Parts: sequence; C-alpha cells; structure tokens
Amino acid sequence: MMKVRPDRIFGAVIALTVLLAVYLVEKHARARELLVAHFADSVPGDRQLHAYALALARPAYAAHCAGCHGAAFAGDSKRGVPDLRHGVWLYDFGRVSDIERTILYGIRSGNGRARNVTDMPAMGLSHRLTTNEISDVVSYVLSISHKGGDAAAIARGAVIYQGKGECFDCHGADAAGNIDWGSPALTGVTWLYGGTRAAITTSIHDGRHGMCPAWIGVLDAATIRALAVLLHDVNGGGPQA
Amino acid sequence: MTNFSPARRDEGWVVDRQSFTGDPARRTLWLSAFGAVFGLVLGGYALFTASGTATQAVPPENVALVNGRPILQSDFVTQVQAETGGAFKDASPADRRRVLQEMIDEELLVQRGLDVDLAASDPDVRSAMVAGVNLQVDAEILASRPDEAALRAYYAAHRDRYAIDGSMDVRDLVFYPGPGADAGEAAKALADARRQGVPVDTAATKAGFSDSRRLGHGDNYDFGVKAKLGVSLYQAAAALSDGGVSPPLVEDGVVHVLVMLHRTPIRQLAFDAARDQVFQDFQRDARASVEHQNLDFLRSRAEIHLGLSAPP
Repeated sequence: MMKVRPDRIFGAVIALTVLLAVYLVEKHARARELLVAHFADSVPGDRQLHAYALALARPAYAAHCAGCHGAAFAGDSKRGVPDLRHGVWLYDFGRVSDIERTILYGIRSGNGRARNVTDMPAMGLSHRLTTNEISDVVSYVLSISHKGGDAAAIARGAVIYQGKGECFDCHGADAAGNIDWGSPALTGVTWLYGGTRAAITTSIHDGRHGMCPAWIGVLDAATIRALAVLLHDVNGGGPQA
Repeated sequence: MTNFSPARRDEGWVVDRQSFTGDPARRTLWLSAFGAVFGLVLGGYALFTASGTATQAVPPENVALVNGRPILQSDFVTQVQAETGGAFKDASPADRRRVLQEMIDEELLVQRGLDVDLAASDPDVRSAMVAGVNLQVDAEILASRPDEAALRAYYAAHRDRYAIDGSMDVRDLVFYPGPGADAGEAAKALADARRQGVPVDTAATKAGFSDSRRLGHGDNYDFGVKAKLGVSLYQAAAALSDGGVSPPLVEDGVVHVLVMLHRTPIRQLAFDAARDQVFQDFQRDARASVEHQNLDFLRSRAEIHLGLSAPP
C-alpha cells in the first residue's frame, strides 16, 4: 500500500486553499463588477446578481443605514425617518435606479445633486396661517384619509388647502402628492412624521426639513447599488423571473 | 539550487525528489519562492484589473470616462429619464446616445473651464463656487429646525433686534456761556416758557438759546438722532416724553437743552410677533458660525503669504 507522506498532504492543502482563495476573490470581484455594470433596474431580473446584491447589502445596511432607518427598516416617525417597507416613495417610483439616486446623493445633503427641490414651509411660524386655520387644515387632511371629524372644520380646511394655504401647490389638488418634488401624498395610511392630529399640526405649523446623507464617495458603487436592490427587495421588488 | 540525480539521467532532466521534498531547508526555500512568485502574480493581476486602479478599462459603474473623469451610470440613467420623460428601459438607443454625448460635451466644457482656471477670472464662476461650498457646509443647518426653547433663548439674548425703531421731533437748542450769561438760569427760563405754552423758537430766543441745526425739523428716527447728536444727547432725548425739556447738558463747552415736541417710542416686538424673524436670524447666525468654522479649517491647512501692500 502506498504511503502518503504528511508533508505532501500539507503542501496539497496549502495549494488548494490558495487556489480556493483566489477563486473566491475573483468570483467576488467579478460579481461586484457585474452588479454595477448592469443597469440598476435590471438587477432584480438576474437571480444570481440579486442574491449577491442582498448578501453584499445586508452588512452595509446594518453598518450605515440601520442607525436611522432601524434594523427592521421600520424608520422612526418621531424623527421623520421613513419606514422603508411600505412601498411608498417620496421621490420617483421606487425603482432600483430611483433608490440608488437617493442613496448616492441624499436628500438635502448639501450635495449639488441631492434631492432638494423644496421642503415643507412653516405655515404657523411664518404667520401665513393662524392656529385656527391650521386646525381646520389638519381636519381636512385627516378627512382625506377617512378619519372623519367636524364637517364645518373640514369644509373650512378644504378652502384653505386649495386657497390661502397653497397646500395644493405641492401636495396636489387631489392631495396625491408629487414624486418629482418629494411632497408626500396625504391620502393614504403612511405618514412620514406620524398621522396623528398633533403630528400633522406640527408639520404644518413648524414645517419639515428631513435629511438623508449622500453616500457617494463614502461607500463604493457596488455597495450603493446593492443597498438600492435591498430596499427595492424589502418593498416586494424581489427577484423577477 | 536544484539537484539532479545522476542515477536517473536516462529518464531525462528529472528533479531529484529526495532533495526537493526530503530536505526541510530546501523545501522551505521552494515553498517561499513559490509563495513569492504567486503573490507577485496575484498582486499584479489585482493591480491591473481592479476597477479602482485599471488603467484602460472604464470601471463598470461608469458609462464613460472623459479624460479620466467618470460619468456615473446612475447620473446617465437619471439624465435620460429626465430628458425623455419616461423610464430608462423605454428610451431608444438614439436617445441614449444623444444624452450621453451631451453629458460628455458638458464634462469636456467643465474640464476646459478648469484647465483655463475660469474661477480665477470669471466672477460668476467664483460666486457659484463660493455659494456651492457654503451650501455644502450649511446643509445640516438648513435641514434642521430649532425647537421653541432654542428660539425663545435666542430672542431673549437679542431682544434689541426685535424692536421697531422709535422716532422723535426734538429740538437741540444750544447756549454759549459767557461773562454774565448763566446757563442754568437760561435753561430754567426756557423750560418755564415752554410750560406756559410759548412756541419753542420764541422761548429759545428769549432765553438766549439757538438751534444747533444738527437735526432736521420734524420726525427723526432714533438711529438718526443718535448718529447726529451722539449717544449721550440721544439718551437724554429718548428719555423725554411729549413736551418735555431736558436739564442743561454740557458737551464740548456748549450747553444743550433738548425740547421734545413729539415722541414715538421704540416698540418691542413680543416673541410671537417676531418668531419668524427670530427663526431667520437664528438660522443665519448658525450658518455664519459653520461657515466661519469651515474657513478656519481651510486657513489652518492653507499656506498664505501676505505681500508688502497687505494691511497690517
């Protein structure tokens, strides 16, 4: 029987380990390259790439995003940090490319390409609306999302919304919002700062100025792309057949 | 050094297995050499193929490199969508090509601007750059909203900013003391005449006073009175109410008596009335502060030499 010398086994193991390491490094580099070489919106259509993106994104999300958005993507309505699970997007349509743009340049981040068309003006602090008028507008806004309320206040609020308050200008006459400007829809159940009377009153009185940092130059392109895929996935945009 | 076994020459140039694997010193040497060569090959491969260091290829996250400057694929997609008004996947190849050419053209012009140091000569470019840098450092301030307590504290610390300036119709009458001319008596005579309703010019002339002509007749804003009469005379005037006559005030050897014809006092704005202005001022001060800090930082890293003509 042929006797295999231990030192040969050792040498073979070392060689195989090195080869395996080279293979894995190359595979990883190739996958990163493919991830950013594809157009963003096509990544969910590639199962392997999609899986790779999720694997790359999860630790990055935990390290860089979870601090504000929470480990479970739930956000924090007290600070106006959006819940990333609801499929409701302030800007654009929630495509991978849209999400990637927000991650790259941020919102009111100071980056020249940040999403920064407008913000919620302080209607109370600037005395454009009185306390009573704000209360009426809040009643109207709550009624849009079918929360009922005093009919007279709702009627007065509707007039202010469509007139003096100029709320329609950003949120739309039908309160459907405007994804070009990042003005939220007021018709649904998702509220950036909470949908209570108190929260909406504060929003109208004090204004809102949410911010998301720009990650370009901080994270590499593949990680940013992977994070966009992850958030798209969290909103039901999983791998497509 | 490799040994060859004479005993096995008939099999050609065969490495002596015993000397290769059996001698620990030689084996160590071989393994080290193999490791070094392998490391060099791997390092070289990584150096010339990694996306960050490739010298030829366009890194995959970019759609083009213009003189080494990348055009990010994400920016390209956004620009195509913005120009075509639809999703990127629906854009025609011709549209994509056109947009890319436009982006390349823009990049070329920007690079040309940098090459010719446009910022050194074009005030608009300089202003845009200054505004851009300040906007970056101000971003957090602009996105923040001070709470009520912070605004009230700011208001309390800067109350004088939130006051509507007063105005006054005041006469500055002067008396030049001389032998036999008692300023105190003259001032008393002036005040008495005013109390009896004697017109101010008449009363002044009778008492030996004349108008200093430092103030125009009629209403003057407080700041104007302060600028023209000086702080001490202004303070004396501001303390008078309608019809009031000040005691004699000596300034530079000249006796002044101030006669207030009509006073509209300074009106302090309550916090609620001034809140919007307080917020604006709060933000402005905060921005000025971070911009100042940014400049301090830049100065700390800069090498600045002042010329002979620079002010001391």
